[in-house]
Amino acid sequence: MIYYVNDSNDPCFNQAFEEYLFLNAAEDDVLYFWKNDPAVVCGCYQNPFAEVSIPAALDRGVAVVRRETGGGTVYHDRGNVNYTRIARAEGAGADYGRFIRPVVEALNRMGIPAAFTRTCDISIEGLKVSGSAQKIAGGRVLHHGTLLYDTDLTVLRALANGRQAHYEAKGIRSAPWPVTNIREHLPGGTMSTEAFEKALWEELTGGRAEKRALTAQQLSEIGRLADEKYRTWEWTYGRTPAFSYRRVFEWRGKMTSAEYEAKNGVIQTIRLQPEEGRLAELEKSLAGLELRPELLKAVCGAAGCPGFWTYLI
Amino acid sequence: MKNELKMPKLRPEMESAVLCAWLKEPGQAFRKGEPIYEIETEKVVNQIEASEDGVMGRQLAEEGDEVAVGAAIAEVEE
Repeated sequence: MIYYVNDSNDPCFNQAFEEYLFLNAAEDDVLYFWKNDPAVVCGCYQNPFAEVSIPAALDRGVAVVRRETGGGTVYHDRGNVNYTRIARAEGAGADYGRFIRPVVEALNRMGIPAAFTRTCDISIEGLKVSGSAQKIAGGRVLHHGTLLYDTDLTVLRALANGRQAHYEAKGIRSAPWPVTNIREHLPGGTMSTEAFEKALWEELTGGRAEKRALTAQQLSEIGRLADEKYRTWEWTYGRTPAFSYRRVFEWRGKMTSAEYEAKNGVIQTIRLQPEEGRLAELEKSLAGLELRPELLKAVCGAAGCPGFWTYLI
Repeated sequence: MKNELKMPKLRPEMESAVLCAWLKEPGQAFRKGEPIYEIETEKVVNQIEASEDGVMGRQLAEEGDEVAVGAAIAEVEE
């Protein structure tokens, strides 16, 4: 087993790091742990507008990121330890037990009463502490999972709590489930996230994995992939499947509605009601606009409706 | 000769999957082993490779559609 060291906490860099190893690592038995600064991470084919409260995320300085694997939206912070495994695919379909069971057994040896539940979760007393997802391509499988150790669960619930009601769309929905932190279920005393990570590494690998660091050249290629893919609006928002939006709310004392259709993250047609004054002007400015939060904010501000953008996504 | 691409059954219990992305446009040729579309089921994105050389024909499923195992998703010309 090869353990690639990744000390970065940059969510976009970490997505690129994983994709780079999946495509380029020569080994068929790769493991590593990694942690992100606060970020909501959406599944490859999800609608981030629908799954994430984007104005609330931006307000808290939380990054919104799209990953390469399937599944739903998760919240990461430095109290959440992610593990990634890269291996040769055995058969074409999902095989979660192969990667999840060793983690459950390692947690159990640490005295933590974790269990493998549902299709690809790890739970403690019915509460989820880990979700996982995979990508299978070219005969290889990328498996990764979260481990909520000491995450701010208030932020998790506020930002990634399932699809918002005003979106109507095809595609992959998140499936929220009650969660808990592993730290609350330790057999005795407490330990830091770093100590937990180290203890889990010892249990998972028997302390025998060969630790490797990537070269400066490889890290610079990963940095480029992060910039050219994971940090772009086109990847995170532009790949969103077509959807329609309808929301009714109170705006300056009047019942107001916003309805639009979007394709590839671009507003195709939009109707704001009541169609009068500033809203009529704003409607014209919004048609054909890319759903870029900062752009929506600027256009609404210029039309004399600051704050209106938070009702549009 | 015209042929059909069908939603594959990747595991015994699999009944359907979401056709997430076409990697080839109608009219585009592909070689055996080349990835031609992606599906998602059980939080796994699966890149599906061509079993034969061919040319992508009319696509019967749109990106985002949930498709039953065995249902035709595209026509191909060999």
